[in-house]
Amino acid sequence: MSAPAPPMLAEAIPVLLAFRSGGDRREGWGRLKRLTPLRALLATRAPVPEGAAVEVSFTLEGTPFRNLACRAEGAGADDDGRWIALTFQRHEDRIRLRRTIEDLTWTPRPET
Amino acid sequence: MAVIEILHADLRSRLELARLLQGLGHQPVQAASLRDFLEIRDAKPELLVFGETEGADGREVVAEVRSAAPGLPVLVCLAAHDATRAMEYLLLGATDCLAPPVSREALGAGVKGALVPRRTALELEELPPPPPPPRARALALLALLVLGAGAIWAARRLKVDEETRVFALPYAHPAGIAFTGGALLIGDWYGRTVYEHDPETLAVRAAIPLPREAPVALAWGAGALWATDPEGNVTKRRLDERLTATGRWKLAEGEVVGLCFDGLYLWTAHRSGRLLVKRIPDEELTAAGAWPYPGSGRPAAIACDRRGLWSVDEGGELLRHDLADPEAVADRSKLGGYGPGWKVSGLASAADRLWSVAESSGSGPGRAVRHAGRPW
Repeated sequence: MSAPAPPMLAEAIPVLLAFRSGGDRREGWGRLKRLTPLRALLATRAPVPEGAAVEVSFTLEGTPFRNLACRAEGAGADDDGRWIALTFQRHEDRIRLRRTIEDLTWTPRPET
Repeated sequence: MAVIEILHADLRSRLELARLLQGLGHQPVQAASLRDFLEIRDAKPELLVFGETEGADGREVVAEVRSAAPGLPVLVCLAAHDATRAMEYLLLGATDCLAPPVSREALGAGVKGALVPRRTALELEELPPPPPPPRARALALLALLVLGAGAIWAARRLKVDEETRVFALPYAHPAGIAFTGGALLIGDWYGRTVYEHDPETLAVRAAIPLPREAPVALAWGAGALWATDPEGNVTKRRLDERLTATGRWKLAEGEVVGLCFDGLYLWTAHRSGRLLVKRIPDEELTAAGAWPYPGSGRPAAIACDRRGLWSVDEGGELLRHDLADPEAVADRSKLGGYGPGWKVSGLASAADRLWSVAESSGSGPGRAVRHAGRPW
């Protein structure tokens, strides 16, 4: 039995990101391909170095998330273009994300 | 090959974009203004490449295009690298923005990405426990040393009297206790875990993490475990290995400190509003009645059994209420088993014996007490 497909939003969420590269503060933008309370996969052309500290801001179905501290754990390219993998660093951000995602994906399951 | 309309006020830029698109195998159609764009819709473009002109605000143009052709993807070529402006375009509905200078590769990737709708997949993941403060870390180390010395977390019993038994718990922040018939379940709000204990020895049989909520009250009834968090959310859980949630409600009365099931109704005790509420365990957790809490302090925990509704307040006073009229108090007494410096945080009834759990105001382990069967 295969795992059920994750819930999808109608449009990919736009993300503003800020990071340091070569000592300079740089900004970029992208869209979320995948979001969990712990990590995000972001389609972006921004040249974020692996291991860099990144701050991201986005709005998830009306709930704003501002300047979330992340670390770029990896980068690559696929058919959709370039992506970076981010992990959220602060526990309180993870809790907020989890609550919001849970609210958006919550479907009561029948008793067995 | 796709028909792609270019909307750019600058002729030279427009021609350059057309050349790049042709080189990528697409068929460009050019428009110099929004009016042109609206007039040459017969070309049925699959994508609009909008070129921002320096000094001009293209946001209105994109908004107009989105309004006139809602299904047409829009790729914006920015006049300058401006992430804030790019976000504004994306929020207006542009599929992507390209920073200057626009290379063939970047345009090709942008066009490819814009022609395929993109969506965000949402997934839940279990959170790791929060990083403990240094003091808690030291406590955890101490607990590990005790375990390493061969102590099993069968609780250490201190005899208070013939019938009241006090058990030290292997965690510091117990809150909420429920009896399922074969086990005592105790929540640890700080560790976000529910522990299953042997009801005789209080040895820990299992620890089930609930990373998304800090359990502050527990109740067993209607074939489910009911739990609350400090924000007034009540969750109904199946008694399986993961305590799988099967329902969740946000209660209007706010913070819930006590839960119990009387066989028919789910009762909730609300600290800030000093309320006792009787609820039907239906899809809405419909309130069937609400009463002011008659204790001298605010309620701290409640329990139900055939003798009535029990509550303990923040001062440690134990009350027995009439289930039909909870404002009527049949008995009041001091809850035994605790001295000064303890905060009772959970109450349950198991085979007509009351159990309670409490946190120490110091840094020591939490405590569970099996109370004497009398004088209640």
